[in-house]
Amino acid sequence: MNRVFPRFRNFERRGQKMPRVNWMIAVCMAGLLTFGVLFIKSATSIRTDSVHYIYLEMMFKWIPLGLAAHIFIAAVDYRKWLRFSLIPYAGGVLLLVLVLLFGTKLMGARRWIFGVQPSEFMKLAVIPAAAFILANFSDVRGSARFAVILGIFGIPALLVAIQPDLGSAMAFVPACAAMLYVSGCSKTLFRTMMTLGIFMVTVFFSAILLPEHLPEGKREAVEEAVDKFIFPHWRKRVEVFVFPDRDPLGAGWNKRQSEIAVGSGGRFGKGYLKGTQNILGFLPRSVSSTDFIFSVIGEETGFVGSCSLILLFCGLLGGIVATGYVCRDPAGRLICTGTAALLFMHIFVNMAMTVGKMPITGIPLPLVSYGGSFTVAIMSLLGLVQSVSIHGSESTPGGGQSLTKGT
Amino acid sequence: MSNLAEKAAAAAGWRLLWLGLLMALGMGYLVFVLYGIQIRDTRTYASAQEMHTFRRVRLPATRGRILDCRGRVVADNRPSFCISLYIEEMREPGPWSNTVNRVDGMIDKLSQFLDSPRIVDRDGIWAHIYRRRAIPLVAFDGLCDRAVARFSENAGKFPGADISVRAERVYPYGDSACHVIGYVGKGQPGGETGEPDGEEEEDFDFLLPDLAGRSGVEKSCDKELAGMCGGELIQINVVGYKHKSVIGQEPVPGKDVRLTLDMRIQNAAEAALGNERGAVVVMNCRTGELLALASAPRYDLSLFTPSLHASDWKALLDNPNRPLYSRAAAGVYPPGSVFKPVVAMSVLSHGGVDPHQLYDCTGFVMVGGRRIRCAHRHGHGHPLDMAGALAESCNPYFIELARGIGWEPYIRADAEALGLGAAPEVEIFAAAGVLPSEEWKRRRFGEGWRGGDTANVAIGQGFLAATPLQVAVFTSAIANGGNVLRPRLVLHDGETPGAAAANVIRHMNWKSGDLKIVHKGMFDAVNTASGTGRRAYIPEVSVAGKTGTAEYMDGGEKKKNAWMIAFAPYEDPEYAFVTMVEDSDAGGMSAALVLKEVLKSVYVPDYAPGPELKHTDAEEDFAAFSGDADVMEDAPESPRFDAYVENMDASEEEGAGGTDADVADAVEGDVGE
Repeated sequence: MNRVFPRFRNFERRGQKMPRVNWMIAVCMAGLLTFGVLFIKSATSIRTDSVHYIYLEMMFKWIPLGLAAHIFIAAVDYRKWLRFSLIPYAGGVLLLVLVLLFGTKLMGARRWIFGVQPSEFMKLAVIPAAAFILANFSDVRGSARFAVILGIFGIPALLVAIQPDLGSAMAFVPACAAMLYVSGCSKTLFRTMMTLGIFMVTVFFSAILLPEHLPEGKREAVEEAVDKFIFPHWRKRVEVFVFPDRDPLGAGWNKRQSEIAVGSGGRFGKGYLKGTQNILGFLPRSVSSTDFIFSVIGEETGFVGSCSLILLFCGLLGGIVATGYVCRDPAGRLICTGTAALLFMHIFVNMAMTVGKMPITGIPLPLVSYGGSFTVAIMSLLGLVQSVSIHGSESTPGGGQSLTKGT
Repeated sequence: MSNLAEKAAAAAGWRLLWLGLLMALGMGYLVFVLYGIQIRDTRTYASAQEMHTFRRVRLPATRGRILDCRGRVVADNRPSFCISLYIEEMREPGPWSNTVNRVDGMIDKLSQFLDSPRIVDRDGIWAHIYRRRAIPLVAFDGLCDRAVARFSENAGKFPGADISVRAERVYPYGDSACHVIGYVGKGQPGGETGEPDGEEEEDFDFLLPDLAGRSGVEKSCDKELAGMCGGELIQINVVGYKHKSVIGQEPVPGKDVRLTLDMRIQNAAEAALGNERGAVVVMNCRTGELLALASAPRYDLSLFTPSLHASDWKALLDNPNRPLYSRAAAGVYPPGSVFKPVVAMSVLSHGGVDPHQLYDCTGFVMVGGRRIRCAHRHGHGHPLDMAGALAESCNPYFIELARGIGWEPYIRADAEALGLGAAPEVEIFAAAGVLPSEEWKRRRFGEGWRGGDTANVAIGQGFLAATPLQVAVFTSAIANGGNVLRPRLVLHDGETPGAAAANVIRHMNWKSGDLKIVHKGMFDAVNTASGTGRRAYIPEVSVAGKTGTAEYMDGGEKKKNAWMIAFAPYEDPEYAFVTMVEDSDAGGMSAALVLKEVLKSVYVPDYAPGPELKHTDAEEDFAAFSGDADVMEDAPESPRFDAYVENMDASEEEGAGGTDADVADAVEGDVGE
């Protein structure tokens, strides 16, 4: 039993061993943050207003703040943190409720309160909370735990979805699925949920796309009925994704222009601060430093730069997965699982959207896009993973350690 | 147990590795896609970027026209050509001042080439770059055909400059009905009401502001008139040559708005008012349609297109006759004797008075120690029943009537039910006037209601004040048997003029016998030799009417407003008329003469307004009528009366102030450009 839940062992060993910092995660994180600051500067270089200086804000405010949180969290045993994990979770849910009631409305959605987006902190808080419950209630029946985890993810996802920020709400799904999968609880239920999920996504897309083929009279009625359940801007985004020619001025414009930006970058790119799509303002200015930062990177650094960025992300994800693999403690492993799934979801959706392979959603690129709360949240989460790496590997067999250091 | 846990942990480890593999596959897919667009197809994208610079052009929707009820166009559009500079395409390396230099030079060159004066100076360019760089700078506006042709032939010489068309408002009837139509200004992106949408401006590189209604029907029907803007993608190469354009979204032109006004009657009413300050209202008393809503003086709507010059605006504001002021709907005046039919109907409907009982007017009546005179200083020479008192506008008769029943609650409640004291719901700005009550007076002046106050309001003086439109509403109600109608200026789809759906606000519980008496009195006023309104008589139609001469104080000077209300035909009333002339002689004179012309325009088939309309009658008539004033002997000396006049002025200011502030905003924006 002690080998599965080795509590506070590291306390007596701390002086004897070098902390097992996962250097892969640390290096990749630093590299990605550097990428971020450089290209936030590039994306805003033509601005003459205060937006021009947001890279400095990133450099001197959010990254130091995130780094402090990262180190502080990593220094303390994650099992200590986990015991309190339900507090930030409850706080996050409360903030999400508050934001719905009193939040600042920006571009049609209530997302901001006290200058932060609680949905970003929620992503941080939900993973330890879920890991804590999954690991510590192993004697409870699988289906019951399963339901609890669905609730843990479902409540904040729902609160975020009605902001409305469906994109961020979707970000909870892969983390939830991955954690349930790795925890191994109730395989039948898991399979049922997956099938149901795929079924729902199919229904969602067909509800938007199929009315096209109906005869004139019926079509309007069906579309109207569909619009009651789906946000109109979502219908538009999916339509634009499938038929980009429909709206070449509006939503189709962003997709086409970011595709042109990345494509015209070629092998080596146009050079730093020389992306014409960005300078001439063809990339939408409000999102070139946030959701569409990858199109600036793709244009200015080309295939080589884009692949370096992907490599850095691969390193980060690999480091997290390796940490989780060597950690024999279910809680630590689940933290790594959730973090990796969450990050992967963001990276994949954001990049695929930038090159036109996904509908446009407001999903930022972790550690690279401009965004204070999100960067701090992700760095804190990585701090927790780092804590798993430092404090959780005592009980692991020797093979695991070499994997941590080697890859 | 431990073994089992070990096994479970190992299985979980494998599952995590499977997940890792899945992620690796996803990343691999991204690399594959990037290889596709950045290595394999990079040429297509690069050339797409070089060859096809797109301009997103917003296609403004044509603003709907405004028609009168017969389909005559009162507000139309005509194209106006302008040259716009696309600042983003003229961007010079280095600081912005380099770009400003280039744009400045370009405008100079264009100015010489087109032989048109510059309308944008260097500061204007800077301001544009700071404020709305994404939108092209309109460098020349309202170009003549020659300049347009010259530019089109040599467009290649001016990269970054392009010609564009925008609609300008024209008014075929000149200043006629200007207060009803209202003027337009430049709209803001994102609309006037909604907060400017951050994304909206980025949606288009080229954005010409649409016209937006700023007053009158142009404002109240702005949604219908404005339509929906469309968008177009234009591919251009480095010298600005257009390769092809793709319509993204066709603009939806605005809908035409049909007014209830009949421009024939409106024009006649305006001609009849001439240079006097005054107002005319013609209302269909069965449906509430307003066939004429004329105010004088008027202003030239075309001054506001393409944008109003600051000096013109100042001149309009400083004009002592206040042409921007819509007297018919927003002008608040004491109604004088035209209020007497309301008093008569109210007293009759509450009973207790025999309308056939004769009253011998002595030429004055004593109220609280004050002597209030009748228009006929020495009496009428014969006793009067109610109809006679209406026909000859006997003040003492109505004062006695009102004192008998009291102002509150009966007469005041009826006046309120008839729409006095509240702004009528009409499609343009309308004022509420003043319907005094004891509570109102206490709040306003800190004193109670007195017998003299009742006497004053009984003859439409004192604190009572109403707009010509409100007077038209109660005249209609008296004419149609008690239906208080909502006055209307806009016909909806499918409505035929004269048969529009009536919006009855309430029905007054009046007996037809009582109505007959009041109608008879009003008929006699026009159709007998001693009637005060006989000057409005025309043979083509039987008219019933009532004159009014209301006194007011203007800077210590006693002045009179002339009123006349009427309805016709007497047997089966169709139209209600109100004429009002400010600072005039007597209701039976100027207002009756204006009314006569308006009646002619409605009932004489080939009527054309004559050049000389006023005071065709000889001077001696004037002497006969000057005694028609509803004189209160000591009222002008009363400090309360002065206070009241000030109050009335204030309420007028409120009415006009609302619209004027709007105008000021609109114009400020225009001048800034």
